[in-house]
Amino acid sequence: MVKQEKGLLFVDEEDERVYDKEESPYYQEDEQEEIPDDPIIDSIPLVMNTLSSRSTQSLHVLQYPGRPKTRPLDQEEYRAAVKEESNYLEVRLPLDTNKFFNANKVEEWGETIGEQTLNGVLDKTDGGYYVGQIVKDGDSRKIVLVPVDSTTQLRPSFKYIDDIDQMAQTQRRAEASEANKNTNFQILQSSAKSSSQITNTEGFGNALGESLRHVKKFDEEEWSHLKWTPTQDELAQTTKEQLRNGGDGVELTTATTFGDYINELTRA
Amino acid sequence: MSSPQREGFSIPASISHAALGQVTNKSLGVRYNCAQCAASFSLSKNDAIRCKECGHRVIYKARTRRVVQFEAR
Amino acid sequence: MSKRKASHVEAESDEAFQELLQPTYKGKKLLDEINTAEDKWNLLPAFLKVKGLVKQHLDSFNYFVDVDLKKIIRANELVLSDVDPEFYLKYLDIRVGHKSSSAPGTKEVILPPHECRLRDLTYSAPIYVDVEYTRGRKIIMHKDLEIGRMPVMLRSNKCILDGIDEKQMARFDECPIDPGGYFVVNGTEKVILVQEQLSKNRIIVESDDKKGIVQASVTSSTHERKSKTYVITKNDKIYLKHNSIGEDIPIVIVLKAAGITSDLEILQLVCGADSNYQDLFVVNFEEAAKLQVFTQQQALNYVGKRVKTIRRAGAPKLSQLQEGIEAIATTIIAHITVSDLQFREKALYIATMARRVIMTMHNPKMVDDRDYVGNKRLELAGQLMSLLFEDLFKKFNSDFKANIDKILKKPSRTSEFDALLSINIHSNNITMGLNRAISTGNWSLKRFKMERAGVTHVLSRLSYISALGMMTRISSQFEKSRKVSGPRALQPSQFGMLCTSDTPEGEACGLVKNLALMTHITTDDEELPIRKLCYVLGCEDILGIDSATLHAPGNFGIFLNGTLVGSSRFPAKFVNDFRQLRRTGKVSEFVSIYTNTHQRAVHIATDGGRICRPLIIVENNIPRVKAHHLFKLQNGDWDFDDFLSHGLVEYLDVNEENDSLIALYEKDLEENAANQVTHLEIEPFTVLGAVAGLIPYPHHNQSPRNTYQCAMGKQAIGAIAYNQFRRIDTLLYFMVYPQQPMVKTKTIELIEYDKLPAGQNATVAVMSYSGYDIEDALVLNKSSIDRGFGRCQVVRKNTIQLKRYPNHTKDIVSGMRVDEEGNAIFPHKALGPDGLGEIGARVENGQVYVNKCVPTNAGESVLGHNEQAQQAESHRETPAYYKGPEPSYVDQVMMSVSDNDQALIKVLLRQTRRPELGDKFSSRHGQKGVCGIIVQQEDLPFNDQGISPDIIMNPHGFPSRMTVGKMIELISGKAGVLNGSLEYGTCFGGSKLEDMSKILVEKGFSYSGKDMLYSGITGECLQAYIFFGPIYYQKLKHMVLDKMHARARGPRAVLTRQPTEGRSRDGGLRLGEMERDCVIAYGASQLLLERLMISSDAFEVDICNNCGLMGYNSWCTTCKSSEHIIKMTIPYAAKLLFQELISMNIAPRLKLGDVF
Repeated sequence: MVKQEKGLLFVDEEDERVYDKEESPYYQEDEQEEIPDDPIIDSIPLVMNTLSSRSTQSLHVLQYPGRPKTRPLDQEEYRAAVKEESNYLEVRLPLDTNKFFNANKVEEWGETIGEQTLNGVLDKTDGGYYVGQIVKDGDSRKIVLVPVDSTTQLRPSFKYIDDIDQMAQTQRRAEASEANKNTNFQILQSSAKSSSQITNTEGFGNALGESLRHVKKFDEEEWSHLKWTPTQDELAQTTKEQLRNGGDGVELTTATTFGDYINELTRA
Repeated sequence: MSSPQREGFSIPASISHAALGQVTNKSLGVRYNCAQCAASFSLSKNDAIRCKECGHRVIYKARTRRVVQFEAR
Repeated sequence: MSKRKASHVEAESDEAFQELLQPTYKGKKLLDEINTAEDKWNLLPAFLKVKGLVKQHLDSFNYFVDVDLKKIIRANELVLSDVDPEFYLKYLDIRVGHKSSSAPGTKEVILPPHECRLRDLTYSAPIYVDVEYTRGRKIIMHKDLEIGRMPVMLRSNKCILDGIDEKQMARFDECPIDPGGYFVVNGTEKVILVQEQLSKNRIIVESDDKKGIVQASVTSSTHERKSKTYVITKNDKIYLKHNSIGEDIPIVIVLKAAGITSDLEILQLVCGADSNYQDLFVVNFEEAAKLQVFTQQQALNYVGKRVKTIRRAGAPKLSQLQEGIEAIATTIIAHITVSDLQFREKALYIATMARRVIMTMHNPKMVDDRDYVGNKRLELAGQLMSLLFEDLFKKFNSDFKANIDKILKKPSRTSEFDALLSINIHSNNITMGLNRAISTGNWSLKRFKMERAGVTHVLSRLSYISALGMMTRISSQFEKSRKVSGPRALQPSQFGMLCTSDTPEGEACGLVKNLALMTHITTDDEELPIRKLCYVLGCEDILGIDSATLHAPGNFGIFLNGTLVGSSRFPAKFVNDFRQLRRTGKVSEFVSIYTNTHQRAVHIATDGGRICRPLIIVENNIPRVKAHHLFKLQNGDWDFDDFLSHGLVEYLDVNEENDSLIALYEKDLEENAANQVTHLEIEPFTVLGAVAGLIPYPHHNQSPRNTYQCAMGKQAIGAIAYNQFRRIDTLLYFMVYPQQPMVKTKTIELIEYDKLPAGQNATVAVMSYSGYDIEDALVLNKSSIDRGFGRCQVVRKNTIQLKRYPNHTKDIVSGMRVDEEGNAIFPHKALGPDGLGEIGARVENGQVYVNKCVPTNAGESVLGHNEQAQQAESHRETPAYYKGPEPSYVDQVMMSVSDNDQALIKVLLRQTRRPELGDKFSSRHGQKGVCGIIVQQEDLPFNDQGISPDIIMNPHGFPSRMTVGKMIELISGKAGVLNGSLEYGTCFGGSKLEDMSKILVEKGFSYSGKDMLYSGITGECLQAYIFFGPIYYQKLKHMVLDKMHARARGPRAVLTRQPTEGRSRDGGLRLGEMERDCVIAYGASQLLLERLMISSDAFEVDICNNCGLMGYNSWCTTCKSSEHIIKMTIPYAAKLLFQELISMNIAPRLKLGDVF
């Protein structure tokens, strides 16, 4: 069941928020060159770090915006799976049936709902995003930056409802097809005809739209399952520690000016 | 007024009407100027429309050598 | 060097703007003190030097040719074959006008533009592509393959006239003042007018108070498709509406389909934390719940079920779910693309639309204004050409593909197939397609199923101003018949962008506009670098922030071209930083950014078609442009672009203007120290356009008068261009002695109207004289006319083509006919021995100017020509007759060859006209009048210096018109005449009336401009002082000679036997229904019977009293008898009506009875 190709570090909401706030002074530092009446209060050295083995590991930021951070999730029995080609991540977590849970509905749906499914599209960052943390080491402080491969926002999917719909529909279809088989035959014919005409399209677009090709690709791709390591777990802690303090510890110095950077950016 | 039918002259309906007088077809003496090199030359009936000096394809007819009385008002 | 050319070259070079930038200009020397408040106007000539008057057209075309073409090529780069999967052809690059090998700056055009005009050709340049394709197994590169010819806009960077000096211009027979910006297609000058449209890809919220509907709509426009999406309220619930979906979809379901399944998140996205909005929105959740839609898949199925499927032949059948995905991903809000199934951007866009609707439901003032100029985009020649070219290029590629498929399908080919051989076959399609579209003005685009007519217009060459006015004209897409005042009204946001005065009267009033003097229209800028820059400047990526924080208080959404890309907690700082970068030139100067506090949004626009104008940046209430900068400008060290790159001046579009406080004058800065003034106007008179700029003292006139003048300035006869005598146009008017106005404006100098003027400075006496001056009629001085006042020439082109026929015969020109004495017969008097009109000869009505002959057997078939070829061709004379009340003179006869190798003869006929009774004149203040009487100078009043007026104008013209500017023009003009100076009547400035009066007094005249005059008839001095002085008068193109018409007997229409209609057909003057009513009311109905029937329209018919229908020859064809036939007289028109009714299966039967 566990297939660990790449380590996945779960950064929960609380941690993520911290980094977010630290990010803004970083930007402001740059602009201080331009605006003199914005004095430098403090300067903190920047250190860049990466995962120890980039070829097998990758770092992703997962957000679950539907849940307030006052109610953190305990991460015991999570399961995760990914469709790498389609950049799609699925996380399954146990469902708290004590609160906000309509037990009557379960009877309608059957006994299958023991867990909740969250999923989201992994948005590639193209190397433009870093997670940072201020690491206090006695008196000295430093900001550690680690490049992020992608970010994603997880949203609940109610697959069990869809599954019931699906079942109902297949049932209906089966009944319908038994009722009259003639219609089925006609559909076959028309599709056979259309396939020969695909060649005739006037160079305007392909047979399937861009998005539908994505759907097709997504449906065809197999889930690759991942192992979930909770934050308290030793492996996660060491990885975290390693990201925080490992690496060469070389302090980053600016080689480009803000202007050069802007020029680089705005070059069409 | 804009009715040539009424005054002076009426448009001949066929050639027989216009048969007064003979056609003179000596185009000699008519000079043409080239729009590019200003060369003056004459063209005969079947010549291509083209400057005889530079081969330019726009030519103008030169001013008449007849006496023209201009009504100065 | 030719004689003709030589005269041009000797012409003294007076470089247009050089004078304006000379060290000593208008008496100001280099070392003179520079006053920023006064001299900042020098930025305007500097702007026009860089930008030119029609720069928007040129920029747009240049962008199309240099940038857009390459984008089109990249989007359609591959041509594949269905037969041979190995085969491919790839376009690598495209160039217009030069080969890859040729030196930079080479401009390859067929012929100089003027020769194209003369020879009825298209001024065009070849389109070269570089291709890579497979031949057998080899991959072959081919450079500089010509795929067609592109019409070239004059003065664009592909035109030979680009960047050449006045001497070289003369060598090409071109006028250096002519602004360019038009095309020459088949010898006619065609302009693609600027089109005004509602902006694409932006949300517009509107409400209908009566129906209680609020709707947010967005017109999505991409290269492939155009569609409109609405978010609309219905019974206080919100729905999404789209053409391709059968019924309106509840907004919650749409959002669920776009992946936002949680109701909480929907509420966060649409309403944020605002309880007012939440209350309004809650009902929508109920609806979705009622419909049992909870998951994304259910929502997609719901949408998919309602999609109207218009399947193309060959497209696979889609399941309901697939239809739903397709609809959400590509059809709805088509300009936002979905990749990797990440619907978030689209969901946010729909949520934003819903939010705008909710906001408007809560507060009806939150609607957008359709007529606000910031919500408009201008479509120029380049964009229209690019749409057309892409369509033609796609057609070209599909034709090419069909062709290679056909060849590749053949099983045995002798030689290896070379695709290039078949690409050339279609090269004419692009050329012809472009030419046809521009010459007819019909833009038909298959992709958008768009059919637009009247896109191009023939450039009006009536006068220099009319041509210039056409280049700045903007036409609106609104229907003219709709009775809404909104689009026609003057919008406050037009200030400085569109001329406030220049619009036609009547049905197009307010829909056709003109650009102001100092405007620029943007072209598309790259969006991606701007997006990256936003993230650097502290904008948080939309994919990284959660829905709850998006509308958190103090958070501003950042919209790039209408699409939400992120949010910022420090919008003011963000906007400020962005502007700083733009002022340093890191970002294109035409990218605009502004905050909308109502929507809590920062909008950044990089799209093309926005109107913008330059303004001086003000910091801490001190303008950044200082005296030393202007000094550099006057020295010629700096040009306008230096002001931009140094961050002293910047362009603002209408939206950003709304975000700034602009001071009109420098003195306003000190007065407004409390306010944070951000910009300073360069020159206030730039609110007017080029045409309205001609008016002296327009700020003293009643506003409609300025509008009238704008219409009339375009009809004034004057100088057209430096090459006016070389032009052979269908109809041209020249003024014989044009003068520059005594009272000019700065605009006049900038557009160089003083070099190509259209009018004369007439000495006007404002008084009553003779009674022939009522109703704005003018009294003209006969001696002035003799001296050349108002004299003009009319030249008319007549084109004769000598055709060649398929049976090898051709048209010829036969010589003139002579009578017995050897003199030419009357109709041939004007002809020379060659059968063409003699230059300088007088052509009278009914005389021939080209004696063309058509072969009698032209229609015969090509076959069997063998015997006939030898025998001498017989020709029939089809001469070109001159028709007109006044004789003309042959001015020029040009002979040439058009592109299909047929001889082309153009005969130019000239008339010189002196003003006569009924000719129309106007001053520059919308005061038109016709000449009522021409009076001997002896009879006209004169002053003590013996000066008598050229024109007497009735003083009744003033009180109701309130054209005070005209009076001030007279005083300034009079002062100028006495002082020997040209005075200025620039809008919001110009020579001061007080100074002018002072000059008058110094020269011994009354301060008021009134003189004491003596009567020319009695010699007594007139009882009143007469307002007397020079006013610039224009002669308008409406002349009696072209209008006079009368008819006694004449031609009749064949069908109806009624007199023909219209002056050109020598038509009759209609006695219409109302006139008929008058005669009946008078009791003279017998007169009507006599005049209208018996003496004119009588027709004798045979009526069969049995069947009631008409027969003939006393025989009824219906009854097959002559028994009941009765002869009677009816109007021919009645007989025709009966017959027409019969042809429509209606039988009008006449029942005849005895009257007495």
